[in-house]
This record gives sequence, structure tokens and C-alpha cells, in this order.
Amino acid sequence: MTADDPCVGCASCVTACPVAAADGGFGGPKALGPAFCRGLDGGWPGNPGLGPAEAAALGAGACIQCHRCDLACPMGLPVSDFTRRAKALLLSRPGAPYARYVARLLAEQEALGRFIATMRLPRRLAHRLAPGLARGAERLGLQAFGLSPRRSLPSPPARTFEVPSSDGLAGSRDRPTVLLYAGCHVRFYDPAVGHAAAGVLRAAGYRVKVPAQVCCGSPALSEGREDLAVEAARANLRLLDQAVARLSESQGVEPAIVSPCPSCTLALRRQFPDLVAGPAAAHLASLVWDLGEFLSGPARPRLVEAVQRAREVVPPDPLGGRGKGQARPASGTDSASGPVLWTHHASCHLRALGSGRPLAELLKALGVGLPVDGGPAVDGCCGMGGLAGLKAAEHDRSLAVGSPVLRAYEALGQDVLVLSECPMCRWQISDATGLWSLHPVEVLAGLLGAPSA
Amino acid sequence: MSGATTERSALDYDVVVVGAGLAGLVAAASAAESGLRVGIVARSSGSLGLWSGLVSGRIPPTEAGARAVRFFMGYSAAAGLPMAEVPGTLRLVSATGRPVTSALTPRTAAADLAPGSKVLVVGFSELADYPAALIAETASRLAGLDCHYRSLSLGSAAGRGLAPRIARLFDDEEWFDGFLTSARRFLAADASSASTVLLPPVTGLDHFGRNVARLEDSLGTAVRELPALPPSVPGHRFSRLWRHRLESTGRVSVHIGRTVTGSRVENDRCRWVSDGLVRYEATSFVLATGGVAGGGIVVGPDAFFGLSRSVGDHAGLVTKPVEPVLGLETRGEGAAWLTWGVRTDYDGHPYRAGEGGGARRLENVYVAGWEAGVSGATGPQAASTLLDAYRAGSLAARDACLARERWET
Amino acid sequence: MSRRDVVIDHADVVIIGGGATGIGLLWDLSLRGLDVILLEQAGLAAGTSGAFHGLLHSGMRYAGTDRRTAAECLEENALLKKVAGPFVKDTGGVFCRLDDDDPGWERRWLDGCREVGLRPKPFARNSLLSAEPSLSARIVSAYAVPDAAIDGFGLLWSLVWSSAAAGARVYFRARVTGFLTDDAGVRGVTVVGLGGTEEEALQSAPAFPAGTPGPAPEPGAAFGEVTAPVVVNATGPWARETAALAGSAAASAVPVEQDKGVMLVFNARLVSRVVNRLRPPADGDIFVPHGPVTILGTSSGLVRGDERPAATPEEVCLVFEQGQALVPGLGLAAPLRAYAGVRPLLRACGSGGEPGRRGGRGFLLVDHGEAGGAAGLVTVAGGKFTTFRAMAQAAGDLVCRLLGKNVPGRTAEVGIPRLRRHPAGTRYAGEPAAGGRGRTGSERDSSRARPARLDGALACDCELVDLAHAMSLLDEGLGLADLRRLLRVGMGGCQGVFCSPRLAGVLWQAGWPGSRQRPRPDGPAILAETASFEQARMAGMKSTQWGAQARLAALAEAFDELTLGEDSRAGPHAGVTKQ
Repeated sequence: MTADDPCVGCASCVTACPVAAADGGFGGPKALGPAFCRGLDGGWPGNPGLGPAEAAALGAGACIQCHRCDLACPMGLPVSDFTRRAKALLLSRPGAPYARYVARLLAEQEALGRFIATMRLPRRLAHRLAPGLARGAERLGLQAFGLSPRRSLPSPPARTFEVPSSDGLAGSRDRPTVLLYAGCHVRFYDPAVGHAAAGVLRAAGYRVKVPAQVCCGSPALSEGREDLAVEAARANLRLLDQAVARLSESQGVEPAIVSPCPSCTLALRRQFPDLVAGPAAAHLASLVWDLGEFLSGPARPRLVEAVQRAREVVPPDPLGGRGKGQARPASGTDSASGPVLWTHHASCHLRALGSGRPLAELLKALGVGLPVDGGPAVDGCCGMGGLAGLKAAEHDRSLAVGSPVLRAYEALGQDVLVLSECPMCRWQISDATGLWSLHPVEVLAGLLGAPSA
Repeated sequence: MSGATTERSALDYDVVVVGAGLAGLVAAASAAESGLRVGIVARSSGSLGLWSGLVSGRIPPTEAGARAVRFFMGYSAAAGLPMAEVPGTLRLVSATGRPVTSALTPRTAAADLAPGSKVLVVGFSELADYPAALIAETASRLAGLDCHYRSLSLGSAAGRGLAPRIARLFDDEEWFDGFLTSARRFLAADASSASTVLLPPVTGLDHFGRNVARLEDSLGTAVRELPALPPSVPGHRFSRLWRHRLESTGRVSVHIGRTVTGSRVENDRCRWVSDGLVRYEATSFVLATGGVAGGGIVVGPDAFFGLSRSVGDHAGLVTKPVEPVLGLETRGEGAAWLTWGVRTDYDGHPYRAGEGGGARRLENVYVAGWEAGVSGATGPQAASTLLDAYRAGSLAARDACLARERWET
Repeated sequence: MSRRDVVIDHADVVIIGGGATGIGLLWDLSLRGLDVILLEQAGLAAGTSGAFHGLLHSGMRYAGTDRRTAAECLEENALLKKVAGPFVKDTGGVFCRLDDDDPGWERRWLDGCREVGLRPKPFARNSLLSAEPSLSARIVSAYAVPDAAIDGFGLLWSLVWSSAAAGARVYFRARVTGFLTDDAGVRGVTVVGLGGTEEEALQSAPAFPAGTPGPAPEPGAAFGEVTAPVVVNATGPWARETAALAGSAAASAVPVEQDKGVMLVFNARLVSRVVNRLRPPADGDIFVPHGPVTILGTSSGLVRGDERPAATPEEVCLVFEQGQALVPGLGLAAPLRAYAGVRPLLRACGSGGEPGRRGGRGFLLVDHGEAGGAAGLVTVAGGKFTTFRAMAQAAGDLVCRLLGKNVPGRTAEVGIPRLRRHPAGTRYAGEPAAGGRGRTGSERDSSRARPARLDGALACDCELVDLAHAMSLLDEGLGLADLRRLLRVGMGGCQGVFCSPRLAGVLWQAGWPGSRQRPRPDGPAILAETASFEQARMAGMKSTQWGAQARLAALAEAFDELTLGEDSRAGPHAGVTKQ
């Protein structure tokens, strides 16, 4: 049966769309989603229906694939899958070579990440010798890539993320091995989150293995490059399948695949089965966990025990050791001078996973710091839209989409730590508000005294 | 029952509410009031995206009705959406100018337009879904109002005129200051002779209360929001404000985007419902999936044609086949969708059709909203949904509390 | 307005009926350079031509039963693909035999095909199933045929506009109430202009029982006479009743019966080519991929002419169940709506002479002067949408002979361009009016097939209709039903539920449809036009309330009550629920 189209045109998706609220030229998910796809093959020879020109007229390029439309649809339609098709059409326009180039660049996270990784040493050197010059050169580079020079760049990590192999493959039923799908951001830009995740998992009684992996393909999908996303999905399936097979054999149970990044989780769990037909992708999807879901689910009892044990021996450092040596915008919020004020930002893709806010709830249950409520506005989208907000052409729109959220965080004052699972939300919020942000698992790692780097 | 063993983890709550529309949110709020852990599991935010925010229908003049309304008003005010404290039924006009009534309205929409009232309908030329001229014309003729209209242009910032876009403009303080100035300039003369100025319900997603108050100050007359066509900003306000309040209590987890597809029933009690990935265990359950409209009851062609009495329910919980509320033979008397619902007892426990002749009930499940037979028979009135849901939530909570006590002693 | 406001117009030919037959003839005669007037009581293609299958037959459906029709269709199929290219989506078609269908019929059918000059190419079962994954695995043999989908509304509107550009006048809401006669025979017709909505026009009198004049014109309705040496009755299934206005002898020369067919629209392209079941023609055995939807049909049953055809749940059930045999997953597709069309079926023609599906599909051309009765009156009836051009050409030849003119028809050579709106500087009327009719639209551009821009507000979100474009057509005097047929407004997933209140506002803004006969309507009148539009949509959903449509019906009622504040049992959607 071909996909039926039960869109009843109620426009609930439009109400929920953060881009439609911010950009008057955006046609909205209803027009760009089911309606657009319906018209794609419905044309007549003399009236050829919809194509790239119409997608452009409806402003398809502005969609950031936040999936909020999916959650608003009373019919349960994957609205964003439809809008993605309209967006992809844009790249086929004759006048879009530059857009194609930028899209390609962002879609190729793996290559980009590796490139940045090889530039690590020269960058560090340049920053040390001539910081101004280095920053200027970086800005030029960003511009050449169509990226916004107004974005702060992640400081180059000393090493890309990997977990010592001594942790080993050999899990047991007792102490099973978990496959940590770290994601590009952790691997190339923010290994601390990966180490924190590994540390917390280990403390909860798991062995951790970082399997060979490539980019999940989510950026490629968002950029309308489904072909590259399919490649990425295939490659990951192959790599992860091998790792799963080996572990299943040695430890007798299939390992869980856990990712600290909600967007990667969403891609592995929801998009791989769509991109790659067959039972393999569906089976793999069933093994995939959001880190928070895993820690608050199967890992919870032993994790709570571990936290309580740790509290008896080490003074908890909710900042996961990261506070040390880092220029904090505000002072006086470390463990010595009172409880840490924190708030949790649920990224759009975490919401799309439907798992609630497991890590925030866990931190609350463990009595960590003092959670503050940013008000209903912070339930919105931060506007980063994955990598979209990095593009020079999208910078202003990105801030406009996120403005209610960003203003609400600003209003909390500089003493509040923003916890979010999504690296891009953290990037946007810190960039726009100056607030400090962490992955909640870094806080957990701090509690455990687990090394985070 | 359904629910293969594919779930790989379980979440444990005192009460699980299936559905996050009006009924689901109200039931969850009322269940969470007693300090219990509540999980909301829902495919989407239901048809709140269509809701005008007005509570239609009649609130029965009973103690139970008054209690439900008190709770609803209190919770909504605390969530940031204060309701008008006007007793009785308000006379309003709809998005097409027809007279309508409402039992309970958001404060920004609470007007009582008696025939002969002088009313100024203000529209925005970019917002095609709010035809001010037509509303004024129709309201004059059908509701007996003394209506005039003015149409303002919001300029290019309004873009295509989608309601959420305009609401966002209103939330922008700088923009709103400018709007106030021009509103004073263009509307003051007409507004001063009117008792009420009616605006489309797009005065903001966050700051609507403040904006309406400032407009009133500026124009010197009452300013109210009229219902409009979807995309509905008032429904969205309700959904996000209530959800935020629920979550911020720390006792309610919201799992939207998870469709319940299976369940386990033992000894006439539901143990868990499942979305195929996670089991949601609870002492008691509220089923608020919205009936046929919400997709909680799935009517297949065979059921429609009368070839089968079996319709599915996506919770997989109540009875397959679901017992038709009014019976298929009544098709044609009312809307076809009214003929399917879940048959419940007085307390809202659903009967399990097909087993034991439909005499057995699910003891720890309560049905609320359109899915329940009771509102199915009276139409989709928000008032009955609200009452239903409040009661279902509190009964589910009572059961869970009793179970806790039993367990603890 | 009063009855003294007489509309007087004169032309070479008056055509009664604005369906495919009448409009085809309008085009044919306009190309021959004749001065033509067309009178239509409701709107363009509001009858049979607006409720057909959307199929450009290869003719092979009739190969086993009615070879003459099969041959005619095959020929017109090829011709229309050429001259009406912009309206034909050449999807190709396939005939499939299921395992329990009679193999003997397959042989007979193949013989029939060969006899009319087509050798259907066998379609390998496996490649068919991979090309059309929704089809049943029970298919045992299949053949490719040159079926296609045709955009009837677009074609007919373009023909009307092209004819108007050549000087033809078209009057909608103009009901013929009788013939003007003198010693020489028929010399014209009396007409009454109908007020109200198109739906009301259709409901008030789709046909007049033979021998009685039409219902009395409403007080104040425009009234007039249109004279011409030749009057053509092209009223399709109601041709007999129309002829009866010229006397019982004329009526008896028109043996047309009304045969209802029910079709079911699914909101997806379930198949990419026309799929026919290879068995003796029966119910629910053709799927046509049509624009964004798939149309499954049809059923067959004689009806009385004074009933508005409607699809009953029983008929829908029958068609659906048969369709399921070809497409097993049909129950999962959204059943957008069902509709019924009335075929003009010829009793005495064709093979068996029996009524119903086995009756004649050929067409009838009567010169009433010859047949006895009324000289100057011509009836053309029967046929199929696929053969409308051939019918028009034959009728055109007869009309020319009667007028003593020797001009050959050119419809087989002249290509039909797709027009998106009324061409500049032409005379075109929305309704009968003396002198300056409606708007001339001289300021309008005559751009062809320019896609809508879609960069502003939308009139219809489901079908992505540009608001500005819709407004410009309303400005020309068209109504909502016309917008639907022209632009597909309200034909998408919401079926007008959510967009029709918006359209009410748009109508108001467009000043619709001010004219001398119908002054600018007030608010309630605009709501009535909108409600009528919506009701017509809802009527189509009445019999398809399962799956997504059951949910839409429920949401529609909730929306009426919660947002529009209407009693769900009295509001516009009450049409869904009352049988």
C-alpha cells in the first residue's frame, strides 16, 4: 500500500511551528508538508503542479526540521518528513549552486569534523601565537563556507573522543557492555560530554565501548540531502551491526546502543528504518536508547546507589569538574557558595523522542542543586535548528525563531546553569545569552566524581 | 490482550493518562493535585490546535460542576491563562459573526454582548481568517449588535498573515508599542463610541493578557478577543501553558509523540499500557484519547458499512470490539462518529465488550472526554469534557492513593 | 428587478446545457465562426460532466460488449491526447484479471480488442506488481492499454474561455423554461435567471417532469428570451425532459434514461496508471489516478430524473468491496468522499437494448424537424466524456446543415490551450443580463498556464491555491463552486471544513458577485453561499465516514460547535449526519 495521506487540514501544525511564528514569509508546515507533497505528482501536463519554484515561493528553506509539527498533528502524521521533501526540492533549482554547496558542506559532518580535527594543532598554535589573527582567519574561513562569522567556534579540543580500549569488548550478563554512539559533536568538538556519559554508565555498572561510527545523517537530512543520509545510515548500520553481533556473542545479550545526543537518537531510531528498508534497520532501532532514557530506566537503580556512595566519600561537584579553569560568566554558584541554580532546556528533538525529561527528573530526584523554572516561553525552540543556525544566511532568522526562549533565559540572570542534551541548543543559548550550559550528564558525572576529561 | 513483549523498559507512575488534549490535561492536573506521580502518554496534543479557548455548553448547577469549574479556573490562572470570573453564560459572536454562547472563557475573551451593544470589530488586513467586515455585518444582523468595523494593516512583518506569526509580533514589545500608537490614532474615535472592541485572538502567545490590558488603557474601552479560525492561538496557549505548569510541578511527565498501541489486562485491571518501546505502569489509568475525532477509536470501513461491529481503539486497552455506544443501527440519526464510543458505567469505568457479554468493567480505568459515551451523546461540548476529565482524574487519583495506603500499611 | 426586465439576445445557435456536450459544441461552432449562446441552469459542468470518472477511456472496457463504442473511444482517445494535451495525463492503463475471474472472458475480450484495432500488450505480472505495489497478488494476467486521466474541469473551462474569446456568450444560472415557436418551428427559448446559490439551482429543479413547464420563476427573477434559428438540446441525462418542453413528439424521439454511477475518491495516488479489472463490466472495477487523488468507480442503477443523485452507503460499500479485490489495502487509504453522476443512457441504441450498464454508450443525434415535432430543435445526448468532441463535431455538422452553411469542423486539428482565467477583452457573462454582462475583464491578462505564485496568503491550504488568484476569479463573477472546479479549492484533505469560513471572508472582500440581477449580497447571504459550498462537500463525505474521514467528520462537528459556535445538528455540517 502506498502511503495514504490523511491530513485533514486542521492547521494544528502551523500553530506549533516556531519558524512560522518568526518568519512571515514561511508558508508553514501545513502548506509545505502534506499539501505540498500531495501536489507533487498531481499536476497535469499544461499545469504541472508543484516544483522547486513553488517550494521556494513558500519559503521551504526556512524549515529547521524541529519536528514540533509532528507532535502537534492530531492525525499523527510525520509532517516534517513531508516538509523535508519540499526543502530537498529547493536544491534542484537551477539557481541554487551556492545553496547546494553549503548544504553539502553541512551534510558532510564527518568530513568537516575530520578536517577540523586535523586543523586542531595548527589552530591551537595560531590561537596561542596570534589570537586576533587566528580569529580573523577563522571568520574568513567560516564565510567561505557560507557559515556565520558571528558564531563563536568551539575551542579546539586536545583530542577527539575515544574511550580507552581497556574497557574492553568483553561484557558479561552481569556487567553488560553498552555501545556509546557519541555523535559528531562529541567526537569532534566536545569530548567532555562523551567522557562524562561513559563515566556515568560505568558507575552504573556497565562496560562502555565506543563502536566505530560515522555521522548519523541527521544534518544531511535537514539539508535536503537524503542521498547522503542514506549513505550515512547504511554505513552506521554496517558498523553498528558488527559491534552488536560481536558483543551479543560474547555476553549473551544484545547490547544497548546509547547516545547522549537526542538528534542522533532520533535519526537512529526513527529515520534509519525509513531510509533503509528491511528488518536490519528496524532491529537496530529497537536497540537504540537516548542516554537519559537509559540512565533513568534500566541503569537507574545502580546509578542512584552509586551517587549515594559517591556522596559519602567525595564532595559533589555538580559542575563535573568543568567549572575549574573555565572563565565563568558569573561567580559564586559553585558548590562552596550555595546550591547551583539550574534549568533544563528540552531540545526539540528530545521532545520528538517523547521520552519526557528523564535526566532533569533524575537530577531533581537526586536533589541536585536548585532547579529554576524559566516559564512557559522556554518550552519553545531555541532557533538553532541543528546546523541551520550556523549558516550566514540563516543567522538572523535563527535568533528570531529563538528569541522568546533566549529572552526568557536571559531574564533568569547569569547565575543559572542551562542544562540541555542537545549540543546545538547549548551553543545557541550560550552564544545568545552568555549563560553557561552543560549536558546534564556532565552534572551527573560531577556528582560521581567521575573524570570528565 | 495485545502488547507483545517488545517493550524493553518500564516507567512507573501512580496514574497514567492516555491523551493530551483538553480532557487529558485536565485529568492529569486533577490527578496530580493529590501529590501523585502522573504520566501523560499521547500521540499528539489532540485537537487543541483547533480549539477557540471558549468552553461551550452548559455547566450543570451541581456541587460537582462547581468543584470542577473552581479547579479548572484555579489551575488555569496559575498556569498563566486566567479565566473570566463571570457567572452564567456569556453571549459572544463567532469567527463568522454568528451568535455563540460560552460558559467559561479566558479573561481576554470574556465579553457579554447583549443585543444593541455598540461594538467595534477590528481586523487586520493580513489575517484572512478574521474577516472583520463580514463579522460586523453578520453580527449586526444575526446577533442584533450595533457593529462597525475597522481594518488595520500590520505591514510586511505579518508576512502571509498566519495567526502564530501575528501573535509573535504582538509579543515583541517594541513592535507592540508602535502598534499601540497607530491603534490609538486610527481607532480611538470609533472605539470611544463603542462599548467593546473585538480583536482577533492573536494578541500574543505569551503576553496576551498584558497586551489586551494596555490596549484597553489606550483606547479607553473594553477590548476582547474573538474566536478565530485555525491555526488557533488560544488553543495553543492553553496547551503550552497547561503543559508547562504540569511539568513544572515535577510530578507529571509528558510523553507526547508516543502512541499507545498495547496494554495488559489481568483480572479486570489494567497493568500497563505500552507504545511498543516502553511500558507505562500505573495503579490507575485515564483514557482520554478523544474518541473518533482524536483517533482513540478507529472506525474501519467494515464497521462503517455495518459489516462488522468491531472498531479498533488505539490504546488497545478497552475491549475489541469496542461496544458501540448507540449501536450501529442508529447510523443516520446522528453523526456516524457519535455512534461509536466506549460504554462506561456511572463512574466512567469502561465495559469490556465481547467478554462475558460486556458485563465486566475495567476496574482501574476511567474514560474521559469524547471517547466516553456520555459526551458522545451530547456532542463535543468542552464543558462536559472538562467535568468528565476532572472527575476521571480525581477518581483515578483516589484509587491510586488508596492503593498506596494499602501498600504502605 | 421584475418580469418586465426582459433579457433579449440573439445568435445563430442556442445551446442548452453547460456540460461536456454543450461546451464541446460551443467550441466546435465557435471555431466554425458561428455566433453561439450557451445557457446553463446551474454552473459549468455541474451535472454529469462534473461527476465523471476523470478517465480518458481507451475504449477497451467495452471491447467485450460494445465494439462500436470501443472503437469510437479508441479513436477519440488518440485524438484528444493530441488536441487536448495540456489536460491529459497519459498514465497508461492496465487490465488485470484476478484468479477467480473468468478466463473465458479474457479471450473474448482480446478478440474484441483486436477487432477494434488494438492489440493489448501483455504486462508481466511481476513487473506490474513492482510498478504498482498496491495491487493484489491475486492478479494472474494483465494487459497494457492506452487509458489516461483527463482534467475535465480544466478542459471545459478553457473551452468556455476560448469560445468566449471568439465571441460566444455563456449564461450560467439561466434556466430554459420553454421553447418559443412559430409556424416554422422552434425559434428560441424563454429563460429565467436563477438567484441563490448553485446548489439551490441544482436542487430546485434538475429536470422538469415531461409536459409541465418549469417551476414558476421566483418573484423578481430576471426573465427573458433568447432567439436563434437553431436550438440545441445538450442536457445529457435530462435531454428527454428538455425535449418534452417542445411537445411529447419531441420527447419520444429522445430515448434517454438516467443511470446513476457512484465513485469513491481516495486521498492519495494509490496507483500510477489506470487500473481496470478484466471481467465483464461491473461495479468498482476501475481505479483512475487523478491529480493528487485516486478515483474508484463505479456502480450502475437507473434513477428518476428529478432526484439529485447521491451516493448511498450501500452503493459505496459495493464499490469499495469490489475495489478491495484489486487493491487489498484500500481500507487504509483516506476515503475523501463519494459522488454520484448520472449517465445519459440510450435505451434503443447499443447492443442489447437493455437498460443499465449494458445499454448503449453510443450517442444520439436527433433533428427534431425530421423526427417530427419541432423543426429547428436538435438533441444531442448520450455518449461519454471521452467522445464529447466527436459528438460535438457531428452535432456541429447537423447544425450547419440546418443553417445552410458549409463550414467544416476544426476541433480535430485545433489544439486547446490551457487558460487560467478569462481572456482579455472578451464578452463573457456570469448570468443573463441585458447589455453589459458581468465584468468584461478587459484589465485581466490572458496569461496561459502560469503557475500560481504562492508567495502570499493562500485561499486553500490543502490544494495550495493562491488567494490573489482566487480573488481575481471571484472578481470576474465566478462562485465558490467554480473556484472548486477551476482551482480545486476545497477538494483537499479538509474538504472545505476549515477553509470555507475563510472563503466567506474572501467572498466579502471580493465584493462577490455584484451584478444588476444579484446586488452585492449581505453577510448572511455570503454565509449561505459558503454553507452551500460546504454542504455540497459534506454531502460527499456522508457515505465515506471511516478512517481519516470519520475523524474529519468528527473534527468538523467539533469545529462547528467549539469555534464557529454552531449547533452541530443545525450547522453546515449537519448535512453529514442527516440522511
